[in-house]
Formats: sequence, C-alpha cells, structure tokens
Amino acid sequence: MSRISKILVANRGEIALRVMRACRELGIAPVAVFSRADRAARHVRYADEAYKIGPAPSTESYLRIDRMVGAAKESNCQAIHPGYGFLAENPDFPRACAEAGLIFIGPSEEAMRKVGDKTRAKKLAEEAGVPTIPGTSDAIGELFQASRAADEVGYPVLLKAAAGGGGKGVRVVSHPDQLAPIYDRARSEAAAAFNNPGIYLEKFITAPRHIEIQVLVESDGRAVHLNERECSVQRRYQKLIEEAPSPAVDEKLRREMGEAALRFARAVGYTNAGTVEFLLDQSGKFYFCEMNARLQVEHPVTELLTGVDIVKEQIRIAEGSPTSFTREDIGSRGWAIECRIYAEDPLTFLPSTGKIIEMIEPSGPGIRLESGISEGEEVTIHYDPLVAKLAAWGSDRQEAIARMERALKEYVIIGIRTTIPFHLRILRHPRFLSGHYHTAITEGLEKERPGGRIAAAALAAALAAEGEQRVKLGGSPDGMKRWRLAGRVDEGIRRRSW
Amino acid sequence: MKEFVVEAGDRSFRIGVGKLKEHGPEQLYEVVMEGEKKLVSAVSVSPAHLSLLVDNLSHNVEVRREGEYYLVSIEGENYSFLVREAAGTAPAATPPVPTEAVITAPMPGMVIEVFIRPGDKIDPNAKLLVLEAMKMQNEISSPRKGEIIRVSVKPGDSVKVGDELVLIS
Repeated sequence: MSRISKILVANRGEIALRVMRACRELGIAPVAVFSRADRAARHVRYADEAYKIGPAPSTESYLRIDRMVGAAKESNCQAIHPGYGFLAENPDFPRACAEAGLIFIGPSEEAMRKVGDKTRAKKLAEEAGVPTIPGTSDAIGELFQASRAADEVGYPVLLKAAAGGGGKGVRVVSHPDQLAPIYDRARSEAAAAFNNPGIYLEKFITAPRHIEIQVLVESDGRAVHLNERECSVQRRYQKLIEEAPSPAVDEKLRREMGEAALRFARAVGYTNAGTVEFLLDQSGKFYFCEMNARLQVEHPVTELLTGVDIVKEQIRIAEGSPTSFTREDIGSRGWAIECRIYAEDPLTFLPSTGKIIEMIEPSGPGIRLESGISEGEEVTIHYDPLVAKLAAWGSDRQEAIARMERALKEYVIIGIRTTIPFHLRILRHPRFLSGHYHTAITEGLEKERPGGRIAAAALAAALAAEGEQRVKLGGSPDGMKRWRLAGRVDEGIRRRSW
Repeated sequence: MKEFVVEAGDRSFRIGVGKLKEHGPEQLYEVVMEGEKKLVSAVSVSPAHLSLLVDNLSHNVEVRREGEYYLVSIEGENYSFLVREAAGTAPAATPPVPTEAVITAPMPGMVIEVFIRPGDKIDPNAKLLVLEAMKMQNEISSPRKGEIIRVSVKPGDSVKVGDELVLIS
C-alpha cells in the first residue's frame, strides 16, 4: 500500500473536473495540465496547481506522454489519472509511468495491450468461455474463404476491414448473391483507406442492443461487477444516451453477463475499473464486443444506482487498498439516465465552436451535471465535442425520464449549438419511452426536420432588425454578384480514435 | 409601425413592428404578423439571448447577426433569415443573375487536405477538401458544378462557418 496525496490529471474538460472532485473528497491535491488553448479552462482554475504542456493541437500537448510524466515529476505527484480519451488506452502510458516511479490509475500495460488488440481479445474471450460473435478468427484473403465462412455463420454477415475502427470500413451482406461484389469493394476500399486489404467476416446481429458491464478489480485480483448499462442510443457509433438498469435485462441475464464480464477480466489479468461491452440480440443471446480499459463516459449512471463512487474506488485500488464495499453491499435503487451534451448541431451533428456567452445549468431533485465549460470560455476545434454530461435519477424509469426532460429544458447554453434538442426528441420517442429499442433508434429521428418554431424565430429576427435600424434594402450587400453556397459535408466521416 | 419582410429559403413572413414603450429592460411592441396583431414583450437577457413573451407565450431565442443574415436558434431549430424593410416593397428590379459562386465552410475546422486547383472543372459532389474539428474529419464537396477560379484556403488554415473556401464559375 502506498498512500497517494497528490494526483496529476492527464486530461481536460468535464472528465478532468470529475476526477479532481474525487481527489478533493479524498483529501488528495489535484494537479492539472493544459495546452496553450486551455489556459482559461475550468479544469485549470479548479486544480491546486496547473502545468502548461504544449500548443493547442492534442498531438503536441494532451497526447504527449513525456510531458505528462514530466509535469507529474515536477509537481511531485505520486500518481496519474488518465481520464478517458487522449492517452487513457495507450499502453505506453502505464509503462512510462512505471519507469518514472509513478502509479498509473488504471490497468497494467500488459492487460491494456491484451484488450486493445481486438482479434486477440476475441480469442481470449472464447478461451474464457465468454460468448463471441461467430465469424473468422483471422483476416481472409480469398473470396472462397469468405463464402465458406458466411455459409457457416449464416446470413446476414458483416465484412469489416481488419485495420478499420469506429464503424469505418464496415459492410453488411444480406444474401449470398451479394457477397462477391461487396467483398471485392470492401477489399479495395480497405486497401485504399487503411493500406491493408485484410477483411474479417462475422455474423451480423440484426437490431442489437448495446449493453455493458462495469467491473472493478482489486490489485490482488478480487473482482466485482456493478451491473449493466444500456447504451443503445447511438448515432454512427457515438453514444448519446445511456441508462441503467437496462429495460432488456432481467436478474438471470444480469448474473450471466456479469459473470461473463468477470471471467474475461480475470483471463486478461485486468485490474482497476473497466467495462466489458456486449451486443444483445433479439432472442436474448449476448456476445462479447470488447473491453474498454478505462473509466467510461457513462459511469455516472452506475454511480447513481449503486452509490459506489467509481473514481474514488479507482484511486483506492491503485493505492493497493481494498475497495470500500463488497458485492453483497451493492444494491440497485431506482433508475438513472445520462445524456451526453456535445458541441454539435442538433440536426446536422456538425461540430459547433464559439464563445459561451450565457449558461444556465440545470439543478433540482435527482439531477447531476458534469460540465467542463463556463461562461466566457471558448469551445475550440481542437478537442472532443463532449462538453458536459447530464445525469438524472428517479425512483423508476418514468421519473428518471421526466426529470431528464425537465433538466434539459432548464439547460441554457448560448454561443455554441449543442445536442440538447436532439436528446429531447429521443426522450419523447415512443420506442424509447416503451423501453423496446435498439441501436438504430436514432436513424429515423435524424431525417426529421422540425419547423414548428419558424414564425417565432422570424419575429425575433424582425425585432433585432428594428433594434439595429440598419437593415439594407434588398438583402445581399454585394448586390447578388455571387451566390453563396455552403459546401456539402459527406457521409464519409473519420473519427480519430484517441 | 415599420414593416419588414423576413425570408429563409422558401418561407417568407411580413412582420410589422411598432414600439410602444420601455419598462427598464423590457421593450414592449405591437406586432402585426401576417395580418395578425400581437403584443410582444422583449428582454435582452444577454447579448445573444432574447426572451420573448408573444401574447404571454414564452420563447427563448438566440439571435446573432452574421453579415447580411440573422441567425436565429429556437429550441434546437436553426434559421438564417434575410430581413428587408417592406417600405419600398420589391427590391431593385430583377437583379442580374450571378455567374460566380462562393463555396463557404459548412462547419468550423482546420483544413487538412485540399484536392482541387484553380482551373479544375468540377461536378456536383466533387470532393474539395478535408476539414477537421473536434476529432472529426469531414470531406467537403461541391454543391454544384463549375470551374475553380480561386482556392482561398490551404492545409493548416482554420476556418469559421461561412468563410470562403473556393470561388467557382
């Protein structure tokens, strides 16, 4: 056991604040790092000390292991918490910490490497008796191999670029006749996009739910799980709303998934907090997807239900102390929901930047807000669009939804566009309300273009014009010599994985 | 009472605005919206936040001016309006049909890659460049066909929404 009294938080924004709050409650001094773009950011002002680690681009600041370790040594920290994103799942980071005599609050380098290699992780899951999605265990190079594998697992099947990720380079084949042309296209695309024509084939799970199990493993290997979270409200593999418990999981399934998650965590020698992700098909069968070797964005819903402070337990585990609870202590009370507030247009989901001119944060019964922004701060193009996460607790699902809706309506952020209006539309969606939904729930909603408020909006524009007293007759100032057309944004989106 | 024509795309509103009085921060207007009379109380909560009570019905609206446009957000709906005074009724007789088009940035970001050069002939959906913001790389393509006259950005440049990317004929 080595008592930690000072922690460097190697992150920014709302998650840096979340970790620092846990530090404060444990009597630990939090130390911040910041890029040149973040001097005025909230996490910098919250910490006891703050160290500048480089220019605005993440590759020169928040992704620099050497700068993080340097700042931790300079400030005499004993430990580093990586948060999520940036360096959190880079196995070189725990190694660099160990070499510098620092405690990394997370899993070991070895465990991180094992779960980070998706192919290897799937093999380890199979060996541990955890159900996986049927498919090829190695990349295939010939059409006949694809055809044989597809016949074995049954259509529809999924073709995935071996080097892809985040949903890029994935194609569905629903009938044997389509296999040859789609396979050829997938191969040439994978070669062009990732310099690797390798393709994996697996069974396509139709209309799945995305359900994950939170685990905590002490340094002596004792492991507990904190039940499931339902994360099926996603858009292009980006999670938007999470809830717990899952409306689709009963006590028996919860036990089975929990035990499978723990078997996997033990098999890879995992320690500290992690999450095992599963797909649940419509017949109630579940399949291993991957393990996330870090704290999750959606950890608050588990905390609200179980009363366990996961970040504080992470710190205790890293110190070599036992967790403050046992499996028998873990209850589950009521219902919890989290909405991820992204700085994105609620209709187009394009990034939105700008200065926060005004902000009114929701509060009141059952509401928990973790925000990284404040009035006067600039939201820039450099970092993740997640600016806040809003969680609501209720004695049942209906109350949790009602509280979330009420809180989203209270939440005012002026200066940037956010996904708040989209969340409100999901919360009123009949399928979401029924609890019977899956990962395609957002698809229909995206196409809808509400226009009910245009008259009030036009009135506001007229009042603004009246106030300004300088409206130009005839509109366009350059006399309509040129059209002004916004460029189109294509579907082909790449999301950086850090 | 001043009369305005407020337009967004194919929607157009005729709105008469007459100021009645001020009570501290509150501005009271008589408004005639498409022939219908309304009493409007407006308070500027912050430079961009307008609180409206339209016949006591509450709206919170974000209004910003960007060039000739008024950008209005209301409960997640976003509009860009052109506003002109209706006094002289129609704008100047049939404006000349423009032959050039400026393609503007649909999102903020940093230019990562540029695919086109002056002189290139492009079709609609031709890939122009890649913009990166908030970990997302988006390919930006042309909304119409034409010939590139000028490329206004280069890799490493930062652009805001509405900035000129390319001038085409």
